[in-house]
Amino acid sequence: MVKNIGRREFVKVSLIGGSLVASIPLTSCMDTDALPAATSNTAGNRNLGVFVRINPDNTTTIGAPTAEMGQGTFTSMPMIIAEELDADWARTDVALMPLSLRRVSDGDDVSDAGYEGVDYAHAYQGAGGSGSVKRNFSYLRKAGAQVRSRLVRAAANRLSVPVEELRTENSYVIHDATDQTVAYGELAEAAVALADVDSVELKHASEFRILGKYQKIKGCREIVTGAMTFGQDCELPDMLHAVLIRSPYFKGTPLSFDDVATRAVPGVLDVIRIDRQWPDDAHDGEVLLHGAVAVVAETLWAALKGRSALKVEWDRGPFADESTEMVEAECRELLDGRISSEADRRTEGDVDTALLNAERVIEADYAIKPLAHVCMEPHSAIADMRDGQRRILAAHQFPERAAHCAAKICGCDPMDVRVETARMGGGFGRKFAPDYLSEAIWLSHRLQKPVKVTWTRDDDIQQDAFNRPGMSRLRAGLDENNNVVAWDHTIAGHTTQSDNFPADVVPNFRVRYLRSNTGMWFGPWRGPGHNTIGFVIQSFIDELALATGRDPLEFRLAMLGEERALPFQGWGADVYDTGRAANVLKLAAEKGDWRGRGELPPGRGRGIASHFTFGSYCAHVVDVRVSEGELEILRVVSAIDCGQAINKLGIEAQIQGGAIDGLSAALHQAIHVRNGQVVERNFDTYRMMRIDQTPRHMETHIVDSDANPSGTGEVGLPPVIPALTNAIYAATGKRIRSLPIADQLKA
Amino acid sequence: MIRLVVNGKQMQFDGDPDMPLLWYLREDAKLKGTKFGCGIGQCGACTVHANGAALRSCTAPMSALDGADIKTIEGLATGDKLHPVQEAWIDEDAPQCGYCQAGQIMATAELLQRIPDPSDKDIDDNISNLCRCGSYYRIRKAIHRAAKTIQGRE
Repeated sequence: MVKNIGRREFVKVSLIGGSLVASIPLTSCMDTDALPAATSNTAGNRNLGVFVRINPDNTTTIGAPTAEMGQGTFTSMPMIIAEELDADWARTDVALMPLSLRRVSDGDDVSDAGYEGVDYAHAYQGAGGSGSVKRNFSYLRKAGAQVRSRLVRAAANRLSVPVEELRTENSYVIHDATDQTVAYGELAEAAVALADVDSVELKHASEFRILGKYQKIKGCREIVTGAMTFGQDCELPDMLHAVLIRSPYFKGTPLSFDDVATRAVPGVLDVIRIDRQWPDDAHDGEVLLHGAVAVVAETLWAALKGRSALKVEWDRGPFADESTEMVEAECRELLDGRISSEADRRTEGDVDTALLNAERVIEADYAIKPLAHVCMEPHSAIADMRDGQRRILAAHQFPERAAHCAAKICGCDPMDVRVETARMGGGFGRKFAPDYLSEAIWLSHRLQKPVKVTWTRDDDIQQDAFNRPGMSRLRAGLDENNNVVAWDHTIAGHTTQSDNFPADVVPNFRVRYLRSNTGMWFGPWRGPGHNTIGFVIQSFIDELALATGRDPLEFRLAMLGEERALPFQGWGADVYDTGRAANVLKLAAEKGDWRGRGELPPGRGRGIASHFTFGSYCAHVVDVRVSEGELEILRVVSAIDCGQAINKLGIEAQIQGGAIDGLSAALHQAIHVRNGQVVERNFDTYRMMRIDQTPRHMETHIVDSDANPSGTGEVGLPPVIPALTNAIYAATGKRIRSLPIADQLKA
Repeated sequence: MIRLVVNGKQMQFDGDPDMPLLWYLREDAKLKGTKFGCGIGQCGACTVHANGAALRSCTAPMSALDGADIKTIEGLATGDKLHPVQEAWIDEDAPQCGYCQAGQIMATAELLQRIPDPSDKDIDDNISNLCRCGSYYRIRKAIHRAAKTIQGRE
């Protein structure tokens, strides 16, 4: 009997170039010859396409094309392939894949990472914007289905039965009529010789055996035994070590230096000046070099010790007087004096008239300080730019940037640069910038030796691409029924992502941007822009609800109105679905006992908030207790709609981790500037939450959905800060309008 | 000459006595499981055991370690048999990026020697390692799970 496994979706697939070169490294990047120059038909080759190797013992190795930084793609991306491949997931291991580029020309379909005539050769290998699964889901399914098709055809040849009579399960091809099974491992070498087919059928979601379940991360045993290789752990034979002293002043560069004591340190080999190279509005693939002096040594310790003996005079650049007070005073001045239509970023309806005619206008100012990334792993990169080598090993979110920087510095073809990304000890958007890659490449090119550049925590905080600070002035007009009819949001500073709710649902809507002057460098930080605008918008909405005597949940649902799909004007999504947005609010409210909040004892408060980040909808209900100015975060109940769930255990980790990360930022984190320099240098002054402040109860509810999958890595963070501050208001009557919360509750 | 034991192996060191143990372990002994996070003993990513006590190795100079018995994350398991704390970390799927987890695990293994069944308050008072991924919630669960496993075995 032929079992119909019901592959309903029939998809034309086009895998690049038709001939796929296996490029999964066999071992970690610690080994120099990790990359087999695989060809398609050599004896013993068990690489089926780009992503899959079927081993003789019937285990499967699947390549993870996107670098892992804690977001879970080392597990989730191979899951997608394994699902369509019908691989035995328990007997599948995963390898991080190196960068693979292809040449593109005008008229080709090119991703947003396409640059200088090259683009990713197969999967989208950059990790950012919570987009790895979203961008690769369909492609990886087809890749898995192609491999399965080859194995099934190889089995049909071996068993002399029609392909249609075969089904697959857990790395076996099964012929039910004759009760025969063949392990994938026995078919791999024959399957290698077969070509891909023009089209493959994909599973219906109801047939998923791996996706949508709770799967533990791959590589966990290596992590808990210390065997996992992170960027800092990589080495190349005969490499030199470099640490840099970079300008402590924004956009500064070295004038002169005294390296006598440095060169006296045993093991120090060279001291090299690096002039600042930082084109304005640089493309992401551009070389970025901080003004710096590099200490090159035989060992890391010698380089560190040599650096501490180095004296540098700096050209302090144009921002030597900058201070937090100065920047904030300018923002206030901008908000008070210089608002004009020139600052209009987006306007719908007639906000001024609507505000004039409103029954009531409510106004509030919010303020946000810069945040540092503080990935637990400080940056590092290894480059070997000798002719014939051209190799980079680094923990980075966008590996093609390493190839582009190398091409520019060495005058070579980016296609000729071998880039391997190591696992990142956190990324959060900081490992998006190519500055630390540029340093290693530049030094290796100059010295014609392999060079490893290592950053310390001080380097990391001082030279961060900070999260954008800003001040917001909000005015809302309410009609006689307490409906929001006008929304006027002016931002002084650098906050972004103002296209979020309530854009498109309030008829008269305006956002203005007044950019303040600063030498500070900004970059993406987990949920860029969303991370703080969520706080501003969702806190102000709470204010509106409470000022009009309405329930904050009901007020939000009323603002969302009927279920409809609105075109989304911001980055990272095409559509904002008010029904999905309302649904996560209702789910979080139900699971978080929103209705029961009136019965909480004195000092306790419950807050709710939601936000839409890069196509996913998330809401939290947060419970707090405030006693004599001491804040205790008791509970976070979350609801997430990220479309088709890939790995539910991973989604839960991201939503809870994002929530904890957001609470940590809200409680303590702030970067200050004095005399043109960043004040905070390490965790003693840049305070992060520890386990003692973590809520004792957290739960995450995942909406069942068959919508296209969207991301989760950044999605949990933006709504948790306003859920917290709304809870604080409920507990104390104190409205938090500036971050961090710090000592505000003690006043 | 500084003599010390690392994961049961006798070692000798005659380099710069100012060098912190962290860099000796990572760069000289090539034991890369112990991580660098801050260099000032704040984050705990570099936690090892020295004579049975948790030590943040980034601030411990080699000169202070003559005769010390050091255990790193690589020495926590017994052959292929994982320590119950390591098992609990896998069972609770605690790591995200994983970078801080060696330190978290070493700190926890030492805590459970002192306080075999720690309360939440004990955990709050004794585990102060940083994690930016926000894996603390599962770490707490993993600590309790490891404690139960160890108690069950005794």
